[in-house]
Amino acid sequence: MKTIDQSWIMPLTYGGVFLGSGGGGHSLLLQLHLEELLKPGKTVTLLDLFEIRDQANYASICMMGSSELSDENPMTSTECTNIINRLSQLTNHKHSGLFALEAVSLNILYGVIGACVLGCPLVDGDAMGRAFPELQMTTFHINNIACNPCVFQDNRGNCYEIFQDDTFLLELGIRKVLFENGGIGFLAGYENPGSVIKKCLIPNTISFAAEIGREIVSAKSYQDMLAGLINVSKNSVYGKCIELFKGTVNEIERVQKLNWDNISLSGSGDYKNHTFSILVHNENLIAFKDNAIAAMVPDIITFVDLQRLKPVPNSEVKPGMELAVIGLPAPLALKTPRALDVVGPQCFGYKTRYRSLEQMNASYYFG
Amino acid sequence: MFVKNKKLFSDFLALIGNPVFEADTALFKETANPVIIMNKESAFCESCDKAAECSAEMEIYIPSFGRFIYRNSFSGDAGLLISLLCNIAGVMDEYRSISMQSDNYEFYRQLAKKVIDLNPHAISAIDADGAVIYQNIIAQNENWSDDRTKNAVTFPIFKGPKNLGRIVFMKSQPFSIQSALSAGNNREIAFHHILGTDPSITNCIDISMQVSAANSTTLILGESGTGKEIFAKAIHEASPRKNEAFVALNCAAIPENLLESELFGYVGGAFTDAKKGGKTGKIVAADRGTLFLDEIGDLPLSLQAKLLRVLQDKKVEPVGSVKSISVDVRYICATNQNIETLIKEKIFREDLYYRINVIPIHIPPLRTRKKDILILLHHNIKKYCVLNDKPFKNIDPLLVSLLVDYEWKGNVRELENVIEYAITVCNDDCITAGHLPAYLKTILSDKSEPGGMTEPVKKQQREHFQKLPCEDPVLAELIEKHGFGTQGKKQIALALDISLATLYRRIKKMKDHEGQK
Repeated sequence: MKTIDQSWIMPLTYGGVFLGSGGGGHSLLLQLHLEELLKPGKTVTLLDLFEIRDQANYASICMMGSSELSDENPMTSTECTNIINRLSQLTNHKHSGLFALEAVSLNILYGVIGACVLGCPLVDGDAMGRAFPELQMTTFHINNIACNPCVFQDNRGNCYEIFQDDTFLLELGIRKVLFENGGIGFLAGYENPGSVIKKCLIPNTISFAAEIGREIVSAKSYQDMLAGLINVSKNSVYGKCIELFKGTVNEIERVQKLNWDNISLSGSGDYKNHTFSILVHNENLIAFKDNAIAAMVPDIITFVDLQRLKPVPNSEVKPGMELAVIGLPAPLALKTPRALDVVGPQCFGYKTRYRSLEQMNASYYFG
Repeated sequence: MFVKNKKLFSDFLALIGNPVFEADTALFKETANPVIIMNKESAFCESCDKAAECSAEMEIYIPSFGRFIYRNSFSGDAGLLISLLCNIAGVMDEYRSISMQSDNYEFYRQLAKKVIDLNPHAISAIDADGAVIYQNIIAQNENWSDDRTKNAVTFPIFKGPKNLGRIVFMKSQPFSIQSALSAGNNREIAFHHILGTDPSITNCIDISMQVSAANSTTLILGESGTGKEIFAKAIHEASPRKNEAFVALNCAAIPENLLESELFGYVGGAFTDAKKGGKTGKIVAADRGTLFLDEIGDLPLSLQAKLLRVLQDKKVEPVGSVKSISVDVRYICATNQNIETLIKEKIFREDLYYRINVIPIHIPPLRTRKKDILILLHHNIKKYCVLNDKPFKNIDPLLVSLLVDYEWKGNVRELENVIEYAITVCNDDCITAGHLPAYLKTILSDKSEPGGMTEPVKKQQREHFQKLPCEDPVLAELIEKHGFGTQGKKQIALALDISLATLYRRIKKMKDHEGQK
């Protein structure tokens, strides 16, 4: 059992951006809000998956919509109390704890905010292990578990109780409401007993994000940071991270019709005379080094700004920036054939068989 | 940044070059943090009028202290320097209130020793009478001829007016900042294959990393399968000998009568059936590199005396030869036996034990670092899926909790074998107890609940739970798992920690509820 206090906010923020694989972002308002909630003396209990009780019920919360809009439409914390209470009324179950559906970007902080406001523990794990753009891209869906019932509240305070066994139809329904009502919403769902939660969640993702964040916050140089990140990630369910490239952003090209972006870089240092490009669809999905595949979703592809020594989401990447591209293998729960049917490259329209970072760099990973 | 002892700090910087000291300058006036500039790569240089004619290779600015400028004289490990500077600043700050005479001096002394040990160039500390007090490994192997020493730099050390001695520094190769920056990382990279966050294993890694820079004989102790050879390889990879041979010999795996010729080699005609040209022994093969002697406790007593002589004289005499061959070998020995017991039983020579036990490293058994088991399971599943070209598989979390509690008498090697077996036989997405080797299945089945323990969550069960959320989902799940028979009900009652009578009441209540629906 660990406790989250104010000192976790910055590490969780940067760790969350790192695991976001270019998606999401960070919100200063959310950080300040959490800082206010976690006043000195106030903490949130972080439960290891082994510590949760089989018979007790746990539910997840998450923010949905555009991270850019979250600062324009600040949350008040009343919505998480509201949606969780409504869910509790629907199922007639009390919740012994919360878990984050997606422990990256804004949602990692939102999970802590929810647990803090409701005064319950947060489970150290999540159902995505990284950022994904759609609600069905979770380990629950991979295990055929529906988000039924779920409660959704839009930014205007309208609350919806949804009973939908098909998570894809649920995603479509919620997106429709999001587009019509401010672009930001809050969801509570996936209530399940501890025995099911243990089977579905990817373990230790919140504490891992914090450890990654601590390495980023304390790094004095890029070499220092990379060594620290490798050291932390090798001792996780993810696996050692790997430097894929270092260079300058040349161009960010948008293929409007297909809703893909292409970020291209030209190499520097050891990568001089090499090129690198990344296909982006909300998150960084496929990376190519000299036109050969270097990394693929669900493995994580993240940018680190070499000037500021901080991970950057795609929304902050600009031509001329000096970046390092870091790859982090996805946990096993996202790499099985069944999981790849839900979160693999083909699910985004890239019709190629998944090749993992470990396969492409076997000697680096396994000696 | 606060530097308590400016004199010591200056001495420390002098160890890695010959900087020119200047008092605070206007250039850094508004800077509160220390600044390290290399090759004019800084915003300060851009704003400086004299940047064009500046010949500084490196500058270190310490607020409220001063500025050190290295002009073609910086000769240390830049990466190490930067981290040490930060350490000094932080630690000295903490030590502000403590008497400098005792603690800070010891801290500084150890830092200086570390700089000397890890420096890629030859450094010797010589006392006032000219006797060598301390040398790093490069200096020990350096040819201190007149030709070479004319380029050496000497830093005299004074305490007040008294001359304590001098530090002699000699470049062994052209200096490259880039190579120095990566030198520190190489040491870490060599240990990246060793996983674990338990303090017992991280301590081993830390000690091994320090040991790798030195040349001392190392004794690795630990149960079978803990990864002694992996540690030995990592020490070699992180050492200055990494480009030379790493030769491993298992003393228990070779018959006694062959071991002598394997270890020491032989000359042609040394014995019947000896090869005409003779054979190079492992010790000579490892010259300038590392020799790993596994299971040293099984080395026959007769060979122990011969090995002891090699260790002492650094010379080896092949079987049948009258000539000795000088060798420069770093020895790493390992055993899973208690050598002190072997000494009492007169199976192992005491003098050899003390010769090899210069730096002992105790690798902990896997059962004492249970929190590392999850990481090792995931790593090895990925490893054997890739090596066997199989699709990735997940592992049932309930099986993980059983494996965490297992004894692992064969340690990490046993865990690897279990996972390799499971990957080979498993054709599903998820490894469950059914995919384990038979011996382990038997042991774990005594501990686990029968049936369903590692079954994936069934669709029916989920639908049942989701459609009837007001019912008793835990009970429904357990019924699904254990069945509705008498034995099953007993197990359910046990799992819920309730009596059979209470269980029957709950089942009735659940059925009534279903009837109402």
